Amino acid sequence: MDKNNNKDIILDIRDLKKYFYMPKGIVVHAVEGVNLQLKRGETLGLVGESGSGKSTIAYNVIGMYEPTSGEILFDGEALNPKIRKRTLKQKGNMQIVFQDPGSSLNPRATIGKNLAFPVKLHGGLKDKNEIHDRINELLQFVGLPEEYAEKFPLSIGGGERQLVCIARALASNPELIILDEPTSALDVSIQAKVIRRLIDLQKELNLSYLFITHDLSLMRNLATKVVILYLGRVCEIADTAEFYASPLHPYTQMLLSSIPVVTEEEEKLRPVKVESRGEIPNPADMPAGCGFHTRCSRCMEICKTEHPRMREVSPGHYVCCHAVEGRIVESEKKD
Amino acid sequence: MEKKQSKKVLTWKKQWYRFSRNKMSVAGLVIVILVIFAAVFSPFITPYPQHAGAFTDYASANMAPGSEHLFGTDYIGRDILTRVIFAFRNALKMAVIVLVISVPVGSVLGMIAGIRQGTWIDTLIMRITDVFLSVPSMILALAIASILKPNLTNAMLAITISWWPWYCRLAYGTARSISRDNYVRYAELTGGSFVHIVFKEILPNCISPILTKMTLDVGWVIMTGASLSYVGLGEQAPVPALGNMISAGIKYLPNQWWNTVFPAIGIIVIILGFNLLGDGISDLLAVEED
Amino acid sequence: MGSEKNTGFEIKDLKISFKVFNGELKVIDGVNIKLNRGERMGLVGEAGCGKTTTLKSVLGILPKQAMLKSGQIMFNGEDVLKFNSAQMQKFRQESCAMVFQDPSSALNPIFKVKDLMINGMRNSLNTKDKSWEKEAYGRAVKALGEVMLPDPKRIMENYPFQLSGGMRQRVCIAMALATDRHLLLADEPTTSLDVTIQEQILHLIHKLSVEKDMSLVLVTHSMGVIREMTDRVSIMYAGTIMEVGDTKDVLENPGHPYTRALIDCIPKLTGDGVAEGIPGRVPDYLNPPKGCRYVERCPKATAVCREEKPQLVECGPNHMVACHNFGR
Repeated sequence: MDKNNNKDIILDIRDLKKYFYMPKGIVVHAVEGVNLQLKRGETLGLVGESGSGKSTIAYNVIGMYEPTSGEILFDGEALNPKIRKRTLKQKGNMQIVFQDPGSSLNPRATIGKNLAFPVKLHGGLKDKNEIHDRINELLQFVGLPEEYAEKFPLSIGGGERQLVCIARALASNPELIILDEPTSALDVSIQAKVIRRLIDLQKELNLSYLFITHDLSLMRNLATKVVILYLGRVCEIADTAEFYASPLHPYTQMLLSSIPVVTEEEEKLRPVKVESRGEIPNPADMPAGCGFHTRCSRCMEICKTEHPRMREVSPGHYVCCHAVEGRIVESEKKD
Repeated sequence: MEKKQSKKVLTWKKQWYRFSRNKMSVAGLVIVILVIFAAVFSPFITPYPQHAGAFTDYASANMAPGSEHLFGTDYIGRDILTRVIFAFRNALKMAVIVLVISVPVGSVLGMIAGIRQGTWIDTLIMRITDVFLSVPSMILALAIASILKPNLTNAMLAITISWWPWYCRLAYGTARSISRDNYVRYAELTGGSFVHIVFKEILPNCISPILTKMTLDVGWVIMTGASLSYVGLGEQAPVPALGNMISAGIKYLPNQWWNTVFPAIGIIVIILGFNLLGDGISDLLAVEED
Repeated sequence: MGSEKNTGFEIKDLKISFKVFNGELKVIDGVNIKLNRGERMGLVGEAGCGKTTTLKSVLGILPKQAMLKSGQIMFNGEDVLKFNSAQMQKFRQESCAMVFQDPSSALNPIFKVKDLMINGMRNSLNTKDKSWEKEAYGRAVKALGEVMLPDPKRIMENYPFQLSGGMRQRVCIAMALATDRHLLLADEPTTSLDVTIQEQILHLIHKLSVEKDMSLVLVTHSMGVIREMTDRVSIMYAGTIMEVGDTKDVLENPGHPYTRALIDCIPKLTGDGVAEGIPGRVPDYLNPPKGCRYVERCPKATAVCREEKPQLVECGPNHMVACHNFGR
């Protein structure tokens, strides 16, 4: 990898594995060897069903979990897996917005007080007026009026709470924000507002987002690159335009075709109807071979025994599937 | 300024509405206020304040309840109403002192164990708590009080020792569940200190269940104190206590029933009042969405 | 009851308020919904619009503070709101079923699926007959099979927490459908599930409602789900119906600014960017606007909108809209 390229990459996840050891000797393979790179100023969309390991990856990055193996590099610097051993600057550079806005803010403290904590900690501000000004500035960033500093989290709507969480994340001037399904608990009308704000802030402050979601239509409008996860492994990675133009992995196709859409034009964009069947297997009891073979319509014998390798099908578009690989090999032979 | 004022009034009104939705908690509040009032001003409102101590008036001994002595008089002629009210005073004093010591000790230990769950601190604190909790608190208090000299201070000490583990357990459970909430996680991830997390994030959210239990416990501490003094391990005669009044009066049953019945009713009223109030307070302190 | 065919289900001018400390929250303000037997109706709106309250009022499970101001809920020619508790019990057991949003809290975790299902049928079967439990068991197994759960007999012996979210929701649906019902109320049945599972569950509900000639009221905030599932749709805002019509028609030619805005807010697969969202929030139910309840968020609001509540008017075949600006 050349040096110039390295500098662009703000987050580099290398062969991350996270296993949970449960009683009775059960091992849950939550993340099973994931490689991801996020460039500065871009949005990486992690998409998958529950149990796909998308949140686990984020929690490993932020330091809530310690990886079983693998490395996480931030700005070219390896992060200590233990949160307590990371520097305050490292903690401030990376922030997280959780899914549930209800439990993300201390319900007994006003919004101002909730914001004051990171402002004092990371901004090093002591003066009351300075803190007050900074809080107002943060509220302004997310488009909330100043009076909100006096309110309590439970007296405002869910979308506004989520905006406060975003403001709080901005308090330490981070470079990377991890967004863990920030809008999945919100109404579409509110979701639109929050997402718009996130897009504007990204441009304004040159932020990088690691965006976790299960909503592929949302990713279409937001992400630079989309990653599909299934059972702790990456199925498909591609730049957004390429991804939606030619989704290749059978799982991706199943996901896309199961989205309930609202317009005719969208319907045309969905791949040929792939009927979704089955459920994601228990990560403690992973099927052999490709994890998806139990639900796959194109399952072959090899899929049941051997896990497919990641293969680049076109520049920047990687797929991990025997069926796709077989097709490529065939077409290469023809040439 | 004026706007702020009216906002405050509005919040108070709202709190009162939430509290008074349950009529029983209003009844509890009334009882508790009356009891506290009686206890605080007992020298002024009782008909015969001098009867609270060592006083004898054999001429009017063993009088049945009547216009002169509403609750009757005991075997040496002391007015029982007066003595019950003075006993309230002693009982409340004991309850307050016991809770003021045991609640902070228990809650802080429990919170620390809850936040540091899975570490040796957790194990140490919670196993000690378990040892205390494995013996019923009444029996534990009796055991401790019987080793010590029988007086009020030692009775309070005994009850305190048997009481804090309950708060430890309560705070432990609450802190454990709160420490899984996202705002605590956020504080940890963004670099908040242990002190910040304990006192700014977790403590304010633990207070509601602790305060509720405290209110309920006032009644139970008084009950335990009365039990100790009933068997002669608490307040000693001639100082009036609900327990020693009952035990002294028991000899005169059933003929001079007022000797025991009125102190017993006193205990019931106190426990009932604080229990009802506790329910109301738990309604009031619950975080509610508007 | 089944003899009177095609009488359907109708909510007429429903008004419900909630008592709070400083007044009344006028949450439901004149809801009218009509659907024929076997029809599938969608009810869409933002959170806090009274969708769930409307459904709850049908089953008589509103909280204590709720006050019924006016209205009728007609089912097969009878007013559900006038039912006494015995009739209500009968209505819930025999005619109308509800599927809730959260399948994990809808099933009592201390009972096996078997016990939950058989208990649910206790009142609709003849319990005097000793073999009723056997019959109930048979029906339960059949119902679990109908909701496409593999190996129903094994599932019968499981506790709810041993099942995945999708399976639990299937069990809920099976419970609702183990005895013949005419009306299914589904309150966001797939919101807590993954898209692939959502598709399967929706497919299932659709199939069952067609097979059993059962009317369906589907509450959701997802227009996509409405489009796939329903024949007709009612757009609800702040306790009033803003627009009602054939689903396809409403989605393609929305007559009300609110419907338009809702559709615009949905992120599209075509990737045309993200809309601004709807400014403001649902009005304060304590002092709701006198006229149209959407007035504070509506870009087209005029003086008349503030003063007068718009009525539903015909704006196309089978398509009604409540907006003063319509046709102007």
